[in-house]
Amino acid sequence: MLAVMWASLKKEIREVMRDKRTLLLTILVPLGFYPAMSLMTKDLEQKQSAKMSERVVTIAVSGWEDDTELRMYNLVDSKMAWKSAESDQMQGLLDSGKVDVFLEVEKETVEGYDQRKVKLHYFSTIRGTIAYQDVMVFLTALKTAEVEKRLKGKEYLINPIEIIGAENHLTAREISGSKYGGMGAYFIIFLAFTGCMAVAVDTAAGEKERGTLEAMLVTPASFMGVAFGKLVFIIIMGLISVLSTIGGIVIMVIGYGGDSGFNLSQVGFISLLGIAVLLLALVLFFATILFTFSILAKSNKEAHVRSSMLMIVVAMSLVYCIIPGVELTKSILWVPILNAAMSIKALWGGAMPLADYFQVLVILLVLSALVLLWISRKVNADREKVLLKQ
Amino acid sequence: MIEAKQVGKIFRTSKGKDDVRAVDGVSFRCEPGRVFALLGPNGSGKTTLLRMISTLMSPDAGELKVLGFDCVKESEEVRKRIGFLTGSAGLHEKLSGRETLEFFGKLHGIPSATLKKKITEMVEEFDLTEFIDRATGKISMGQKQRIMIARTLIHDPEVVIFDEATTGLDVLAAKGLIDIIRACRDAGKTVLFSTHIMGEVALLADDVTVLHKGRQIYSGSIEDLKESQVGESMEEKFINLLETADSNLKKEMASC
Repeated sequence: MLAVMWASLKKEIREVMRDKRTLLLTILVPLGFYPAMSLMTKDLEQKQSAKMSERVVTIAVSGWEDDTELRMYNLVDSKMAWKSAESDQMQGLLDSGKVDVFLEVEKETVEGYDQRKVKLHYFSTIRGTIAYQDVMVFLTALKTAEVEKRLKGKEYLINPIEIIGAENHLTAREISGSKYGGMGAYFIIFLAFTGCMAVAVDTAAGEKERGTLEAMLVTPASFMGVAFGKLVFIIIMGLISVLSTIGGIVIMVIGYGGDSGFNLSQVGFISLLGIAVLLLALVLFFATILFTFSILAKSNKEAHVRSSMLMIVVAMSLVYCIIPGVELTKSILWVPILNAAMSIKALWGGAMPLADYFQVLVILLVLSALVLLWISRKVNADREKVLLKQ
Repeated sequence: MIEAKQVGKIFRTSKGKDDVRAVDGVSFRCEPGRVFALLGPNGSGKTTLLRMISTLMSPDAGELKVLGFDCVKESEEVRKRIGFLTGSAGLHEKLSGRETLEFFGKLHGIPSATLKKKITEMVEEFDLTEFIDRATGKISMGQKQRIMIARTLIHDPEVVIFDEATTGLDVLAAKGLIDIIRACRDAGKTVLFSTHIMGEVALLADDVTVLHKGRQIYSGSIEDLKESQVGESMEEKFINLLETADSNLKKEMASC
């Protein structure tokens, strides 16, 4: 028994040692995955924190008639820029992003001494929250300094600066977008990929290996006709996977009894339609890539290995969309898959510029068309090698 | 009718020096109403030649015609008129036999009503009633073979090609296939089959071409083959033929 077991084990090891792809997937890729991820995220975090440390927090103040103290503070800490404003400018300044925090100040005089009641207005985005925290630290320091000054002068001790509240001006949708958009996009896209992958390998490499593709090729039906049928099937399965994921999210929300803060209706019909069209384009992209990978593979196993490697690439690139503070930049717009993920996140939060949306859509469609064109040329040029079991 | 004139096929490697001449200058003619056998040991080029006839591969040299249609330039016309059954072809195991026939009938462009009628006829002709609605993954090897034959003949092709089709079949299933080959011949179809089993050739073939290492080492009637070769059994005659071809090839190489 043991001898047979040992012989069997030895044979398996011998076989696997000669299979470079399996070794790559089972040893080298897992070995390199976390170091690579950590390097990528570390690099990103460093860039983010460098950006944050260089960033100037812009604060607008209304009702502080002589903001000399504020501007003096600005002299010692160049991170803060102050500007005077009127209360009615608040929403416009916050919406435009010209101001991170708006301070609404009311001044009262008690026994001849000034008391300022301050209300903070901000957006609870990553940037807005950091700015809000910076301003809170500043106001506390200012208040402490003022109290110390009055104590020294034995003046009437009254709370010189009282923070009476803070108002987050983000809409429920924007909060939902920043809270769930990245994670939602990650899972929807990743599961769309696995949905496509589950059928693409079998419908292309599997048919080739079983010899059923050869049987189809000796009929008058064109290969491209057969291939497009398969492609549509892969797309349908990818979309079903997307719908199932959304169904799962809905079940999760119901499970929370509506307390999760997640509400799909906040996103709005137009944005949902935009997300749906984007997902369709992305699933088309996945389907063309996976079909191409599979049809070019010499065996079912090779197709599985190739697709698994692609899955790792997809998973790694999608990680970016769940890292706090990463936003849809002009350079990200050119990165397939990640651009769709970041666009879904932005659409979810209601902050997707139309031109950027169409750019992402066009990039995905053009790439899909190019992949299709390439594989159809490859099949026409080397039909025997590509389509027949060797 | 199938006509091959000096057909050649080279499998090229990236380095070039290891190129393999899979088929080298093969010529023959298969007539309707006759069974033509392509005989040869494994690796002799039979499957490559049949794949070229069925338009799956293109020849590098020579000319191949099926019913007057060029296998390269008029490949679609050729595919409309041939039925190709290969031992390596499989079935869609999740589909039933009926669904398989429906699918392949559609690929051949048969209208739905005609197809339904045709399937009913084939179920009777090939005795498929018992398992026609079962998933093909769950039926026996012999039953699978009958479904594959029905699939090959669904569009009533004028030319039928069987590539090592009896491989893996038990005696009964192999006999069933041999009966079908005879029936095709009697129906006036052109029948071409490849095998490495001499007994099948003796049993079925009217004409035979023997391939060895891609070269045609014999072409003629089965009677002439029996008479021209020394040996008690057909197997002995076949081995004798191959050995003679090998020694000729060695002499040829030495003279080069």
